[in-house]
Amino acid sequence: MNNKTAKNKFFKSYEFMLLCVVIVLTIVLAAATGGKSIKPDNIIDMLTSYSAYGVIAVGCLFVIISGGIDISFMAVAAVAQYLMALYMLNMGGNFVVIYIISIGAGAGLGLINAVLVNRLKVPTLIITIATMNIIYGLMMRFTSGVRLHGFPGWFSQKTEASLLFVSVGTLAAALLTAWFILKRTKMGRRVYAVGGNIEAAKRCGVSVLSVHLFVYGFAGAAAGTGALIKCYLSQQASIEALYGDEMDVLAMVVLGGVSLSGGKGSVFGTLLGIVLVALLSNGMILVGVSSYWKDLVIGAVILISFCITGWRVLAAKKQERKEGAAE
Amino acid sequence: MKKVLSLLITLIMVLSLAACSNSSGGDGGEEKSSEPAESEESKGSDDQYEIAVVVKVVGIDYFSVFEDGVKKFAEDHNVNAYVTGPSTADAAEQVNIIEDLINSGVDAICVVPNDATVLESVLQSAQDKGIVVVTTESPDQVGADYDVEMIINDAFAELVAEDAAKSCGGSGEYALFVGSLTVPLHNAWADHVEEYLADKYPDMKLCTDRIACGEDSALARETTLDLLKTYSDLNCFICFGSQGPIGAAEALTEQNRIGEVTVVGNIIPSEGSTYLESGAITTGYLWNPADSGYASCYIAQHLLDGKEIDESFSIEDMGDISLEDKTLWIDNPITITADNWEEFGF
Repeated sequence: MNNKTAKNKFFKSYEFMLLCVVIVLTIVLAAATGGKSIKPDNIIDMLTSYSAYGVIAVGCLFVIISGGIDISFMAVAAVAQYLMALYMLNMGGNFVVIYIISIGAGAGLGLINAVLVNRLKVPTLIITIATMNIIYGLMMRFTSGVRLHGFPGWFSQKTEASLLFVSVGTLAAALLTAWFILKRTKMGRRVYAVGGNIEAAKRCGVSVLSVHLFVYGFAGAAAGTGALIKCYLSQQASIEALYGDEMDVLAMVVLGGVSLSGGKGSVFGTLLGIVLVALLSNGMILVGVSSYWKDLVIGAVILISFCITGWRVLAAKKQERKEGAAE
Repeated sequence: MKKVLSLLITLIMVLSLAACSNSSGGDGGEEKSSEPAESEESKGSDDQYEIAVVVKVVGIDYFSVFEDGVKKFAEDHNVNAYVTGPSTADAAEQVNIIEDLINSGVDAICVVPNDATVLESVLQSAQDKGIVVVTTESPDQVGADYDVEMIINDAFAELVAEDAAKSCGGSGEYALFVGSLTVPLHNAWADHVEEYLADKYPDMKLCTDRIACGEDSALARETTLDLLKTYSDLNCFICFGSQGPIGAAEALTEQNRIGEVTVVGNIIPSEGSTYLESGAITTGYLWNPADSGYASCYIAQHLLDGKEIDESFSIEDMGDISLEDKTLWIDNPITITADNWEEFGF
């Protein structure tokens, strides 16, 4: 009985509707491209290209669940990317070292955000706008915007395996870690608790500071990791490569069904959000949509699919209420 | 404690107001003498012209080299010339910056527009205040006294198209990358490349409408991979925007298809060097951005001095100049190959 209601709940959830949207879209694209879009090499290319922003989106998910919003993540990512690239150019190093550097740098900057958010009690949007500008400003001042390239051979000579490992492998690891933390640890429950009702969480003895430190630290670490992937793919480290794409990443998370007021959201939803954005962008080229129409088509597809999703979720809720009344 | 703080804040506000009114008072005085001859007199030898150069985006190598040219001009001619610009290639940001410059009372504004139409009104209001406006990479800009181009567009597009066609054997499909669908220069070249190839090499077909990924190497890489899967006859990428060839070349390197596919376009020599040497980028084309920066300031100062620009106008060490309405064309492109990329120094 219990199992059955859990199943029923899933079929009525937002994630299930989103999954349907993704499946329908995949079928439509496959039909429109004569099957090209579902060939394994295309799927791998697509996941590889979107893994960087996917990893960053997973970090954003944590912040939004905790009731905040972070838009400084691309600035944080730019710092991590630059430090990692500088280390490689000057000291050589290997993959383990650059992962540690980019995760460490990202987490460090994230912790600064956390302390500010926790102590100043102003909307997190304002704080992260400020930190974003400060970080970019400092970066611009110290680097004068020079792009870094010409990395050592172990980083610049990509093989199919290394490409897959660094991009899709890292994304999978990030998703699994995030899923484990949110579903299986006390900290995960606390993140939801703080996002759902911060006062109630405080009264239950949750240390809001430790949750903030964890959430923003994690988001920073994810941003740093995403920056590493992007650097590996494009073989360049630059400030402006990441700047300005904040909305793309937030779109992935928000399409994934997270509640912007906090307390709601899942890793599975975010994964679907990432896949949806990737499918749309990749599909536009495979179908041959003219770039003059691209934005219009993407916007229309998102709007239409979410009208249907929203309507279905509402209908399901209404039915639930009716059933409840009948009982 | 609170009282002290509020006192301090008030003090700061009053002081900053006073500072503002001071500087704007100075501006007012200058505006009255907006006649070029008079302003020349009012500027003593120690009172330099202030020439602000607004670039598309600060922080990329191209505009760092551009800035070198501006700095060189400032040193050579003893003027206060400096570079500013938005941190993303955003026309609205440029409008804000130019408005601030107008209010701060500069003598001349040089601009590399992100969007010609968006900037029209703000440039006109600068002219109304007696500020000299010079643009570059935006021919026939409304609101500019003069526009200067470091290449002759049609000749440049033909140079790129001809080399591309030769390299890929004059048949197959080609893709066109531009920085954005609204960058005037990239789109003018793209238009001419399409016309030229349709006319001279009818066997070469454009695979899909031009794509806006020329300023983002990761996006260009992804787009290249997707295009190669979609169009089996695709054998040539013509990329305008300095990151297009890099991304395309990176994709070809990953796919082990170097040599099968031609990649030509704008590159920063040092950035494209590894790909030029591996053969992933066939050839690169550009002009020297330092020359653009230098020439913009040169023209601005020429106009500030109250001199006319006519057919006899020339700039030292630069190629032939032809004047077409309010646009100055200088034929000065550079071709970048595996052998010569080191010579350019950027």
